[in-house]
Amino acid sequence: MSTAQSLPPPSGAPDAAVVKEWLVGYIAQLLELDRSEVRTNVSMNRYGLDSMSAVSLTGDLGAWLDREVDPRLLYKQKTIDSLADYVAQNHATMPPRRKK
Amino acid sequence: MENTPRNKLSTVAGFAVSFIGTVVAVALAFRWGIGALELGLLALMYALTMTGVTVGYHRYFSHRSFEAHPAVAAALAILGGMAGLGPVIFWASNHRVHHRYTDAPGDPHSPYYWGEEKLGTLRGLWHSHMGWTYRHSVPDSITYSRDLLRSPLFRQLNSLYFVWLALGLALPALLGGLLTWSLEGALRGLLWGGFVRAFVVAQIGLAVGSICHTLGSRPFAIRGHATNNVLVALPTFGEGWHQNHHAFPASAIFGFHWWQVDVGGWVIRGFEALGWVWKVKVPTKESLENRRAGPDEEDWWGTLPAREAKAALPPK
Repeated sequence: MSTAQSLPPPSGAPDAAVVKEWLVGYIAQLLELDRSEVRTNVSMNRYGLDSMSAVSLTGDLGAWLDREVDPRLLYKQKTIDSLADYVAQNHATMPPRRKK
Repeated sequence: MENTPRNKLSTVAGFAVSFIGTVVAVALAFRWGIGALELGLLALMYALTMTGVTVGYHRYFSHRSFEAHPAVAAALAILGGMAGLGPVIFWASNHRVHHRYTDAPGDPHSPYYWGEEKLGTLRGLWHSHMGWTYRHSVPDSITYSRDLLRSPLFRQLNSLYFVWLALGLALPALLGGLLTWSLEGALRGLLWGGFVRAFVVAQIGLAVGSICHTLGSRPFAIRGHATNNVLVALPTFGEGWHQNHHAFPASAIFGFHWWQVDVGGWVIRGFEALGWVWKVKVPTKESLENRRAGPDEEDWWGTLPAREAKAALPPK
């Protein structure tokens, strides 16, 4: 995966800060931005990430977490902060990743 | 992922509004007549938006078949946005998926397949012309349009789509109003340069996906069932040389013979002469020859089953 990062997959439920770091790294690498340029409290729409990018973003996030992450999650969790918090809180309810 | 409710609503609303606007325009024409103002604004907006779609959305953003000054890229994205066919990165992503899976499962708008389901003739025509605009999945911009996402300018142009769409209605209304110094003129401009134009551009543009994948000639031996159709090529400013395009998607010019009228290609050459665009890609004579269909090969190059069937034939 060309947006793979060196961040190791979490063992067990990750805390929000780790997920946040992953998301910042993902977006920075995707858009060739500096990590410091990626703001976590604004809508990811600001970075051109909308419904079109949901499948890949949640797919790659799911691969890292070894969970199935519903792309439609991003309709509600629009910022990196809220998505990271959601994942940290609801990790246990996410089904394991389907082997494709 | 299934198309979002918002996208579906926008699509239906767009068709409905432009269709109703067209009906109103035609009805009013019985009272007011159709004159130079209506036809002129229709023609002007048609030319501008069709150029935005074929030169901008298609040849530049989807296929990067030439390089352009950022102001030119922006102008093309804006003109294409005025056409009302969706935001530029959305359109380009869908289009790149179409090229990857041409007339096979995964093609968003083929007359032959919807997902794994093989389509009959009538259903296929409906789907590839109109049905797909509602039913297609959300295209994956990270996989297909990373290059476009990486440009802050293109991201911005994409996000302002509804502004461009509104501009496409406001501009002919403003011109109609100014040219006649009347509100009636503004209404006529809006109706003919806005709604009638949008309806016609959409129908003719969609014909590239329906007619130019079913009816016409196939001079090349390639994957998929795209065709060249001169009746579509003229009003679409060259898009109707569609098999040419599927044979050489990176080519900025769609007409490979002098008689294949390609207005979009002429626009690009004109911009090139002005220095506004450069590195205009065209195929070499050798590659054109290499891909030419032999006398028995027409339509053999289609979906995988056709190629497998061909391979299973006894040698000549």
